[in-house]
Amino acid sequence: MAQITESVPRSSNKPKSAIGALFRRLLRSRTGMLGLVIVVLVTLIAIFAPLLAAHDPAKTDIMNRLVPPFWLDGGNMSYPLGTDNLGRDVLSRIIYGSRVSLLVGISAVLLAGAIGIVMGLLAGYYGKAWDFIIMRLVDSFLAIPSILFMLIILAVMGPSLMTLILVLGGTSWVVYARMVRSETLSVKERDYVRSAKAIGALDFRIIVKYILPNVISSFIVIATLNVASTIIMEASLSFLGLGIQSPDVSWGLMLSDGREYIATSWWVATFPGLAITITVLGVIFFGDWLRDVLDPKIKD
Amino acid sequence: MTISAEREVIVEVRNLKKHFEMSNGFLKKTKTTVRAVDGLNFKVYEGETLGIVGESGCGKSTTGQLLLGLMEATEGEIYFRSTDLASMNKEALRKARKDLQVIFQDPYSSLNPRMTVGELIGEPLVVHGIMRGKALRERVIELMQLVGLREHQYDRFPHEFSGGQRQRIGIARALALNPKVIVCDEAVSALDVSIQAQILNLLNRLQKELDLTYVFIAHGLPAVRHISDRIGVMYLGKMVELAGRDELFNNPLHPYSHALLDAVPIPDPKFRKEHELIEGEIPSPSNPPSGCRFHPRCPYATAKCREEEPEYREVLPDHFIACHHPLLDEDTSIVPATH
Amino acid sequence: MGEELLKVDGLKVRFKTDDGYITTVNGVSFSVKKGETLAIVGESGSGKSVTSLALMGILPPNGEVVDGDVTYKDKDLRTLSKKDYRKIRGNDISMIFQEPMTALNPVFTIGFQLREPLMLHEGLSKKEAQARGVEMLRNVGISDAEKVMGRFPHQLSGGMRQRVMIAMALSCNPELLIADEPTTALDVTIQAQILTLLRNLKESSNTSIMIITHDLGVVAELADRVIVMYAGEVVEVATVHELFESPQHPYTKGLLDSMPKIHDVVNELYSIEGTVPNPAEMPQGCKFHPRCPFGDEECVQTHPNLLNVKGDHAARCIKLAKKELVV
Repeated sequence: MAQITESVPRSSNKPKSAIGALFRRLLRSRTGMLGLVIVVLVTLIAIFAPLLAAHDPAKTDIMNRLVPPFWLDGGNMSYPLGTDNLGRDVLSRIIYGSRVSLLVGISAVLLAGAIGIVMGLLAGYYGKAWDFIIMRLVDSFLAIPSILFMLIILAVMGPSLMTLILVLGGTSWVVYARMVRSETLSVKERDYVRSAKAIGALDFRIIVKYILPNVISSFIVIATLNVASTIIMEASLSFLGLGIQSPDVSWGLMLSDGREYIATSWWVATFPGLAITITVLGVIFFGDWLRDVLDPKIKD
Repeated sequence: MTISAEREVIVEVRNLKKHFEMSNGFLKKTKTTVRAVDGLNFKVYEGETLGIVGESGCGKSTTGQLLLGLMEATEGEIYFRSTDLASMNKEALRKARKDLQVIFQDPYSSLNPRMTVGELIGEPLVVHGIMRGKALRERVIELMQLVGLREHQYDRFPHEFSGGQRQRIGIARALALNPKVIVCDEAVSALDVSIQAQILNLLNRLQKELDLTYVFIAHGLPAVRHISDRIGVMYLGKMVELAGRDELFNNPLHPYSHALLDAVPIPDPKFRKEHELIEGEIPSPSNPPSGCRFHPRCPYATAKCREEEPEYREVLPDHFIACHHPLLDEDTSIVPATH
Repeated sequence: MGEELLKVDGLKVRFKTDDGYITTVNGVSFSVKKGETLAIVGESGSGKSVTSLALMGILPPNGEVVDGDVTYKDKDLRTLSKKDYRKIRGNDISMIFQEPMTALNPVFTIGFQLREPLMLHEGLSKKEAQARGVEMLRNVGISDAEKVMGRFPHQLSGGMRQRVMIAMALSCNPELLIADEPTTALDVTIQAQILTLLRNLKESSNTSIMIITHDLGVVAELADRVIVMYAGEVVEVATVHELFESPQHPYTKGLLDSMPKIHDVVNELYSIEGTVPNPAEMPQGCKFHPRCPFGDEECVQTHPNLLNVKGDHAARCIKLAKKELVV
C-alpha cells in the first residue's frame, strides 16, 4: 500500500542535529543503551588495563594456585575472582584478555570490511566480467569450510595475534562483498546515480560520493554484529590452542586453561566465559539498535 | 504554423532503436527481445518544448535516457547540433553532457540523500572542474535564487524539503552547467496540483530567461499541453503522431491519439460525457502485434493494418503520422469549444 | 437519494511518531447518502486517505481515532466489536485501493481468491462459485474471464488487477464502496475504462461510492457531491456543479485555477504559494492563511467554522461571513 505508507506520518522532518536525534533515540531504547554501556565499559577496561589490574596477568605464583573467589571459604580480596592452576589472578587476566578480544574482533572486521566493500562495489557497479570473477571467488570461499581454511593457514603461518586477525578477516570478507554488491546493485538504479551520470561524473566519483555513502550504513550494522561473532571465533581458536599463545592472555585461552579444573575449581573457566557472554551480548544489543536507527529501509 | 521553417534544429533523432534482451524461464531458458524503442525519427527545434506523451510501455522514458546518453542505442543516430552522440566515445560524451541535462520525476529518489543542497547543486560544476571555493558558492546561491530557494537552505539535506522544493533543487542542479537542452522526464508527475502549477510556471519562466529547449516527457496530458509547443504521441516504441500542440488537440489524425486525448477526464462536470473507450490492454513490447501495432485495439483496423506497418510521414504541414487510415475527413475534435 | 448511509461526525485521528503525537485528521464531519457518489479531494497531507482508513477500521498500528462518531445506518462503528466490524466490512462496505497488488494474495490464483469467500460465506459448491466468479469478472468488463480465473495476480496488467479488485469488492453486493485513488496508478485509457465501469455500477446497482482522489478531473467525471480537505480539515462541501462553478474557499479556487486545462490553454498557471503545512507544525487560526491571498491578521487569530453559503454548500472561511470575499 504505497499510498497509505506515504500518507501516514512516521516522523516529522524537523531539522535538528543528527547526533542529538540519535542520542534521543538511544535513550528511548533500553537494550540499546545497555549495549552501549557494556561496549564503552569493555573498551575503557581494555584501554586502561595496566591501571585496573592489581596483578601481572602472566605472573605465576604456585603458592597461591587455585585460590577461590573472595566470597568462598579460603578466598581473599587480593584475588577477588580467585586464581588459576598457576596462581595467576583471574580478574587481572580477564582485564588484560579484553584487549585481545576487542583488538581481534575489531581489526578482523575492519580488514574483512575493507576487502568486502571494495570487492562488492566493483562487482556491483561494473557488473559483467568483474561481477563474474569476484562472485566466483566469493562462492569458492563459501564452499570451503572456513574453519578448515583457518586451520590450514594457522598451521602454515604459526599462531600469533597477527595471523589470527588475517585469518579471521580473510575468511569473512565474502559476507560484506555479497551484501555490498547487492546494495550497490539497487542503489545503482536510483535516479540520483543516473543524475550523477547525466552531469558527467566519473565512475570513481559516482562510486565514492553516491554509492558508498548509501551502502555504508547497512555495512556498519552487519559489521557491528560480526564483531560479536569474531570475538567468539577468536575465543574458540584460542581455546583450541590455535590462537593466542601464553604468556599472552585471551578469554578463549583462559577457558582452555580452566577446562581441566571445571569440576574442582569452576571459577577459572566460568569468569572468562561470563566475560565473553556479556561482551558479545553488549555488542549485539548495540548492533541491533544501530540497525533500527541506520537501516534506510526502516527510516528514510 | 510552420515552426520548422523558422527555427534551427538542435536535436535530431534518426531511426533510433533500443532493444533489451531478456532471458526468462526456469528450466528452459527463452530469450525475448523487448523492443522498447523501435525506430524513432523526430527533430527538436531550438527554443521549443517538444512534449512526448504515451502510456506505460510506449518507450517514452527510454527515449529520454537515450537522448541523455544514459543508455546505449541499439541502432540509429542522435544528433546534437551536427554531432552524432551515439557514435561518441565516453570522454567526448561526458563533455557533451554539459549541454544536455535532465530533470527526473521523483524528487525523492533523484537527489543523493547524503549530500547537502549546496553540494547537490554545485556538483556539476565541481565534476567538470569549472569552479570551486567562493565562486562556486556564489554561483550555487545564484542558481538557488533563480529557482526560488533561499540562501539559508544551502546546508540543508534533501529530506528536510517538500516534494516541490526538492524538484526546485533538481532544476537548479540541471541548470548549473548552462545546458542548451533539458529533458524533463515526468518532471511534474509526482507533484500535487498546486505544486505542479508552481513548477510548470518556473519551467516556462526559465525557458524564456535562459533560452532553453525542453523535451518534456510525461503521461499527464494537461501538463504536457500546457507547456509544449509540439507534441509527439508514442505507442509501443513507435511515434504514431507528432504535430503542433493545438493542431494535435483539435485535429488528432491517428485513432490512438484520438482515443488517448478523449480519455483524459476534463475537470469540469459540464463536459461530463461518455468516453469512446478503446478496447483491451496495451500489448507487451516484447511481443508487439504485427503490422500497425495499434491494430488490435483500433476501431478502424483493416486487413492492411494487420499486415503492413504504416509509414511515418508528413500528411499535413508539420503534422506527422503513422497510420493507414488517418482520421482526415470527419470532425475529430475531442475538445469542447472554449466557453 | 437522501437517506444517510454513513455519517461521520467530528472524526479526529492522531499518529504516534518519534516526536510525539501528530493529528492528521482534525474534526472531519460528512455523510454519504444512499446512491450518491461522494468525492473527497485533497492534496497529499490533507488527511483524505487517513479518513478512509479510519472509517474502515484499518489504521496502521501507530494511528488511533481519538474523537468523533462514525455511524453506518444505525450502528456506531467505533463501539463495534472487531468481529462485527469485519462483518460490515465484508458485507456492507467494501474498499478498493490504489495499488490492487497489495490487496490480492500473490500465491493464489484469481479464481481461488474469488471462489473462496463465496464458498465460505454463501455455502456455494466449487462449481457454482466458479460460475459466479466468471460472471463477476464479466460484469467488470473482463471478456476472457475463464482464462483470468486461472491466472496469478502478477500475470495481470495494472488495469486488469484493478478490475479484479473491483469484482471482489462487489462480490458481496456492498451498499457502500470506498475507493481510495482507484485510478491513480493506471494509464489514461485504462483510467477511462475504470471510471466508466464505476459510473455504470452506480447506475445499475444504486451502490453508494465514496471516492478519495487528488484528481479534480476524476471528481468532475464521477462525483455528485464533493468534500475538499486541507490539512486535516474539511474546507468546503458542495455539489459537484456548485463546486466547479462557484468555489467559495480560496483553497478550492486556487486548486481549480492551478490545474492545466486541456481545453483552455493559458500562458501562466495560477499557483498557490508555499506548501502544505507539516502536521507537526500546523499554523494558528485558519490553516490555509499562510498560503492564502486574502489572509490577514484575523485569519491568524481565528479558526473559522464551516459556514453555509447556500443550500448544502459550505466553506470554512471567515471572509465569507463578512462578505469580504467576492469569489
